[in-house]
Amino acid sequence: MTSSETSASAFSSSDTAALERQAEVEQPVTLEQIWNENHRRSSVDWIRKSGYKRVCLQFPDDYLPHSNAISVGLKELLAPEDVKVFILADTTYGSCCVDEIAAAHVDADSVIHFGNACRSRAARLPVLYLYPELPLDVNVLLSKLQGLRAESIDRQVCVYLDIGYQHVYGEKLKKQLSEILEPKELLLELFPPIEAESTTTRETTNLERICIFIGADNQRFANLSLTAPAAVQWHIYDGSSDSLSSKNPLTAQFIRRRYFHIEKCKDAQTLGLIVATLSAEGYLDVVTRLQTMAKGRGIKTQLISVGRINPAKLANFLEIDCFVLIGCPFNNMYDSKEYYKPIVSVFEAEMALNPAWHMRYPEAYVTDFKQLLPEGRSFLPFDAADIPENDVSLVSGRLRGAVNDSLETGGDPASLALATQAKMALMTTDTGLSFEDRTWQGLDPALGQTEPAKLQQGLSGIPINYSHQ
Amino acid sequence: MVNFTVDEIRGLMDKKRNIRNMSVIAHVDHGKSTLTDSLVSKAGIIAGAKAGETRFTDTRKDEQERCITIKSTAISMYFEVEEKDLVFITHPDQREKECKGFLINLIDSPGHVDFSSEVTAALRVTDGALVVVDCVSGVCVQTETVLRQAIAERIKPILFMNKMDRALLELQLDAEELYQTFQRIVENVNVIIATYNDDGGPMGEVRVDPSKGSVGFGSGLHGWAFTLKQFSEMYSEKFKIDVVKLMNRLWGENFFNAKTKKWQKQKEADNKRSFCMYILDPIYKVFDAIMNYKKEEIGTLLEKIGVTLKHEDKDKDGKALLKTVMRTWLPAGEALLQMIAIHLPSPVVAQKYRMEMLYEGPHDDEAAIAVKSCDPDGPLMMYISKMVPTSDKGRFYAFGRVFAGKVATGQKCRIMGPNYTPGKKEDLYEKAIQRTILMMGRYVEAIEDVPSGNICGLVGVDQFLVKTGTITTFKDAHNMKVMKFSVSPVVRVAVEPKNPADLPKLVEGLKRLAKSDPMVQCIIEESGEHIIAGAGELHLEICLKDLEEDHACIPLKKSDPVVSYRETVSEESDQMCLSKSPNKHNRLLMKALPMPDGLPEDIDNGDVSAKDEFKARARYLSEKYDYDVTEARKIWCFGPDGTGPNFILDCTKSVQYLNEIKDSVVAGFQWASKEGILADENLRGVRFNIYDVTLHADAIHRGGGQIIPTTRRCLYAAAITAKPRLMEPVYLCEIQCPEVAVGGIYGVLNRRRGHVFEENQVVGTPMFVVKAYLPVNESFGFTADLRSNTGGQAFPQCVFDHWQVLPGDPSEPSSKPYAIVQDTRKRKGLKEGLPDLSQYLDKL
Repeated sequence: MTSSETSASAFSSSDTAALERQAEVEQPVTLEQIWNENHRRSSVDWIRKSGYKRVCLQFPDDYLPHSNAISVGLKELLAPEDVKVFILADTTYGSCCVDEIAAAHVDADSVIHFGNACRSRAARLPVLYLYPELPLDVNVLLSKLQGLRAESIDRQVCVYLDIGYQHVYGEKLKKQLSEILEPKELLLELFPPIEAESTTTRETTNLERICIFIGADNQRFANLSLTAPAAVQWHIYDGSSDSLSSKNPLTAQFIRRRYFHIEKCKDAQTLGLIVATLSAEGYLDVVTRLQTMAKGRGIKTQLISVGRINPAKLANFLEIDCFVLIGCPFNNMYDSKEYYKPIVSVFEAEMALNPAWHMRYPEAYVTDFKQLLPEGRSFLPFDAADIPENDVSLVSGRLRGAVNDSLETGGDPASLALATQAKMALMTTDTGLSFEDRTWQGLDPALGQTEPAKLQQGLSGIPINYSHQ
Repeated sequence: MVNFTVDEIRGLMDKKRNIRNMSVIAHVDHGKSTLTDSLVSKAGIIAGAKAGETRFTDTRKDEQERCITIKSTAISMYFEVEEKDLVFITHPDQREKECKGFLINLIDSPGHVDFSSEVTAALRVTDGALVVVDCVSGVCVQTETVLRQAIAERIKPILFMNKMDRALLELQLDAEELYQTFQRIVENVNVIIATYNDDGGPMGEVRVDPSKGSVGFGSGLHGWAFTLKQFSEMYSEKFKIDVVKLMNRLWGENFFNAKTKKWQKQKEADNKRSFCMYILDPIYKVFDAIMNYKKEEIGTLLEKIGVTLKHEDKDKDGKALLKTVMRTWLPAGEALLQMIAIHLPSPVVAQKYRMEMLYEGPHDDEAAIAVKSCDPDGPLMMYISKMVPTSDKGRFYAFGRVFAGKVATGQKCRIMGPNYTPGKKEDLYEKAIQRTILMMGRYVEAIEDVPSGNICGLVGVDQFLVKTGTITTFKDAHNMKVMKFSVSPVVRVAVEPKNPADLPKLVEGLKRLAKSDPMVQCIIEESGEHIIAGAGELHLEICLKDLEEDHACIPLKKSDPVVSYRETVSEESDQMCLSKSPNKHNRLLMKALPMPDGLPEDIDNGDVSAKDEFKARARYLSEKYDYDVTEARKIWCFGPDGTGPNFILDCTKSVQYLNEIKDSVVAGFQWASKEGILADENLRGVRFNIYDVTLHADAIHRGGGQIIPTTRRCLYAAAITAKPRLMEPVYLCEIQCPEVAVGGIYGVLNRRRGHVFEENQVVGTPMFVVKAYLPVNESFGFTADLRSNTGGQAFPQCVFDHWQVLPGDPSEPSSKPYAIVQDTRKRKGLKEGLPDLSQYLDKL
């Protein structure tokens, strides 16, 4: 979630905002940076080529001051085609995702997305992503990077370009970098990648990696450094201040912290699956997969869609022990103390529920849930038979059992099928078991104890003057 | 070699009146394991000459290396008691007719206070306890602790005075002094017994009495021991007095005048105390003759006491000869066996009065009756008290006692964990027992089935229990009561794998460790730290070693030991605290105030608990703590975890819809009492009062989402305004040392914020006992520090005693609590600094 979070969540106190890693304000942009000649040309060409008639322009909150100028400019350029242009803001989940729902409200046939993008593939509408073009002095960059030559030699160097600097991408830059750093192997990549699937370059080599991120120490960097294969060292080149800084990879510590939440997720008796995207491809498959895995462990699931989440909304689900946020790669990690129950990402839920992850340590964090689906990079098949029968929770110190179905059936193989069926019958959306523990269960209906009331003629008319009197 | 077979043991298991289940308990280093060797050698499991050196029940390598018992170890043994001794067993339920064989299931327990949870687990499955006291150091703090636990569990004690060899050889006490020492120890033990046992209670009189034969004397190391019965038998012929009568004469204020041949009740010039004259004198003579190499005397003495030396022993002299002679004359195994067989209860006798202490359910249901009568044909009731590691990594034997029915290989049972409640499915499994086994110290023996009254191990149930549980075949059975430990896990270390990729192995190892020790806690904290909490430094050291070498098998990084703190308040909130819900339509008004002294402890001990009937609880609170009765009836809940030492109380007057938000408030309270405002630590001793509540008229606007976060905020505001404080755990520390070292102790304690509250000389010895309170936080390295400052003469025993407010205001940046709060926050990855009241407190 980007800057919009800070202003948009009226319910969160200042504490929330400060604690949420995702909430950050990016550097203010000028109109020229986000709407220059290149942008104009590519968008006009794109619209003309496909003959779109109703185009939505989606902006993150900090671009909104320029939205009108852009919209007017685009309309003028496309005047002969009679194209309708709409401005979208205040997106439902995060401004990195294409808001297809809002676009559908105006019956749009295409979306031009500005600024930070997670590039989850939209399922319904064609999208053109326009990134800002921030100035970058390549010569300064190269001279600064010279200092890294010593540690780059004999290693693989991976250079990632943040969204503002992707305009410098090219063979020329790659060649220059190779000359400066002299690594064994040099990779120059865009982040986020144009197509999530086209990550052919991510072949594992036995070389140690040095990673350089050209951008800023922002949320995208955090995301990238978690998901990329382990690196010896990360360097951030901040394009706005031309400064180079190094940062240790934090994956180990981060994953240790998340292990607590993974334990919590294993402990849960009821999981809440929050759908925080309606456009990302495969979200329904993820939901089904999570439901199957939870079922295998006898965990009930509830499917929830509450728009942008906040503590008050989620605390309404008193019976849910842990939430799984199914969102785009940039919008699925919440680590705030304000939430009553923990929120885990799909990857963490996968680690908790899929026995294939038992005793396996992830090489890198996975934020894109598509990678966890069949054919994804981090996919591990789920086999309910592998679920360990019992396990001690390191959070509560209690035993968390798989389903003790043998109680009714006697546990012999013949009746096992029956037991599984019975288990599924329990999988309704209500969490009846813990509801029984509530002291207040609503007004007592006193069924069968009260006389049925007689039918009477009711009031009619409007309250100031009922007509039947 | 082993002079019994598994079949013989199995045969005896059905003779329930001839079974004795017993544990050996004592202060550290008083010689439990060494003494146990005597019995083990009598059973033929180890050679007699090795007894006292093998410490057969110390099965682990580190136990042997350190000469300290760490885990309790069980062993089953078969003995035959002679006809002449059988007549001493008078109670009909204490022996089967026509059966000389006795089955003794013995559990040797550790003495170090850090492992007292092992003692608790051992006591639970036994009916009698052999209390060993080093007659040189006397009754020590751990002696008292374990004895108290034993009495509370309704375990009948017998006493053994160990290390008589030291008293004779090192201290050179004369006979009368030695008698006085014995007399004092017996008295001390009986005082402790009397304090915790009611003679009119179901267990009856349990005090130990040498003249009844329930006190033994001897040396475990040298392998000899006696009770008055042995000597009485030797003399009864000569005096023509009945053995039992003579035993009475041989103890206490009974004096014999050798000239007049008269018994007298007072000490006079020409008479001598019978105990000294008839028991100690011969022993002294043997010692004197052998240790001073009086060759001629030895010959006549040996003849007198009826000892003939074997050929190979003829060349021995000095200590070696002494050992051989004493061992032949007064074999320790025989004396112990008689004490055990005659004075410890059989399961039939013991379960009659223990049932009500053991069973949670109604005392007249099928299970209760079967336990009470130790009925092997009733429904199975078995309590698992601990898990014993097997050679198969990660798997355990479930070790416990069959109280009723019969447990058999392949039998289908209900396995109920401590959180099982009848009628619900939580913590309940129905599985078949893979195998039943007999625990034989270092070995196990498979056995077909085990009837009631016996101790055994089970294979294949370990994965359905964390540490303890109940196994039954009775569908409506309740749980056996969970054990209560006398120590708490207050010392913690954080561990992490040296190689991050080993994290899953660490997690797996922690789970195994949690199983293998009755008390250790393995927790993942929200900060991502993997914590191991134990009773003390030694306990943790052993746990970490086990984790690294046996359970996780990976190299680990360990943090320094830290303690966990508690948060409390010191005054009533200085203002009414108001918080509004996110939609601003609901308002809560609360205050926090400290509980009166003693109440948090009452809650810890279960004297005040969530399960109490509310009127009874209110009466208790008003009588003991002067609470208003109507208010005290409206305690909504305890927390954290529904049982902790904090509560929230409804002081409102006629608020509409209040019952609807109770669940949400309770949830918020559980949350806030678990994660305190200062450092995210548990709360302790805080009472919250709800004074007023304003709620939105529509149910949808006063749901959990609105109320839970608001309750939490309001509780935080109340805590901040009530002068919050930190509490730290404090050890009760008992240090034994000679007088010269006392000064050094004071120095060390002062430097570590400890304070001495008692200093006593142990009567009859040059030893002093210093009792002090020492903050756990200051106790790391205390033992080593103390030794270096007293020339290695002082030995501390530290056991968690209470929580104490850490002096200083945590909001004062120069104070110690402030530093601790900031450190903790940093460690947990929280925002540093002080909580900001304005974030939690709203204006009307």
